Amino acid sequence: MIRCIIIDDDPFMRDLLTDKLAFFDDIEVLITAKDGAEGLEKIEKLKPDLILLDVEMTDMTGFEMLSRLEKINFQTIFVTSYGHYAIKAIRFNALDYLLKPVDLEELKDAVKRFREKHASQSKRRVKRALSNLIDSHSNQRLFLTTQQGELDIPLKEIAFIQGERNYSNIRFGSDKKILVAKTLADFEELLPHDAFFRCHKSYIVGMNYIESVGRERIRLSSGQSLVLSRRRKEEFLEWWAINKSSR
Amino acid sequence: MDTLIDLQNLKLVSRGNKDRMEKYLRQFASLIPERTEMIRAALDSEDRAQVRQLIHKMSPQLQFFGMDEVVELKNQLEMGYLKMDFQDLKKMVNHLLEQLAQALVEVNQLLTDNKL
Repeated sequence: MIRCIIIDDDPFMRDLLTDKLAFFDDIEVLITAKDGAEGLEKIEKLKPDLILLDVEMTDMTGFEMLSRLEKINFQTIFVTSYGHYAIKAIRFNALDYLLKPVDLEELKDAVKRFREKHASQSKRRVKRALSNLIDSHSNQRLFLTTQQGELDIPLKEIAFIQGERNYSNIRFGSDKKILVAKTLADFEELLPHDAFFRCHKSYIVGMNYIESVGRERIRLSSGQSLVLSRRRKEEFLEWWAINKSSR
Repeated sequence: MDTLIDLQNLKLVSRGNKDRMEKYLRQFASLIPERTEMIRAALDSEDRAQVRQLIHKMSPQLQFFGMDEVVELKNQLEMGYLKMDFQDLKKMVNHLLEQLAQALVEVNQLLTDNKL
C-alpha cells in the first residue's frame, strides 16, 4: 500500500485530490494538511511514501516546506496552477508536477511514474528548485535527467545550445559539449528568456557569451560564431538592447 | 436555459455518490461568497496583486465546475492585471463576480431541489 499525505491550503483541492486518489486501490490517503506547518508535522509523524504538495501555500511555498525537513524519504508530486511562476523551477529540476484541478489521467501517469522510481527524490534536487526560484540567473543551475545519469549544469556556463532534430547539444565555453534527448523548443521553454535567446532555428545563444553582434552572425567570447536568422534579427536586437546591461 | 456550471467532472469524481456530490456543491456555496467578498475588498483598496491572487486561487474550482467562460475571463485578468487600466480591470472583475453570483444561484438551486 502506498501511504500518501495531501498538503494544500485550498479545502476544495484537498477534497478533490482525496477523492481522485480513491480511484487507486493501492493508495491510502493517511491525512490531509491545510498548510506547510501542518504538513511538516504530519510528515514527521506518519512517514508517508508519497506527498501531493501545493506549491503556493499561505504560510510557505512547497519548496520551503521540503527544505525544512532534515531527511526526505518520500517522493513528491507538486500540484500547481497553470501559469504559476514555479512551473519553470519544477521542470528545471526534473521534479514531477500536476496542474490543478488535476486531470485523472494525468494523475494516473504521475502515480505510474512514482511506482517506477526506486530511489527517493533527493533533498538536493528540491533545494536546488528553491534556490532557482530565488537566485539571480548567474547562480541558477539546470538539472537534467539523461540516460547517462543526472546532470547538474550552472546556467552561466552554457554558451549556446545547438538543436539536432530530437536532440540538443549543450555547448560550453570550452570545447566541452553534452548531447541530451531534448529538443531546442524544450530548452527554449525551460531557460530564462532574459538570459537565452533562440537566434536561429538551430541555436539558442547564452547572453553571457555574446561578444559582438554582426549583420548575420553573433560572435561569442568562446571563439565560436552563430548564424543570426534574418527572421529573428529584429527581435534579437531588441532583446539584446534590453538585457545586455544586466550581464 | 443555458447553465453556467457543468456537473460532468463532479459526477466523474463522485462516482454517483450523492453525498460526495453534495459535499462539493456545499463547498462551492460556502467558499465562493467568502472569496468574492475578499475580491471586492481588494478592488476597493485597488490592490491589483491581491485581486489576481484571489482569482487565481479560485481557478481550480471554476475549472472543475466547467465554467469555461469565467475561466477565460480569469485568464485575461491574470494576464493583464498589472498593466490594465484600473477601471477596465474593475469592470472585468465585476463581470466575473456577476457570473459567480449566477453560478451560486445554480448551485443553491441544485441543493434545494435535491435533484442530484
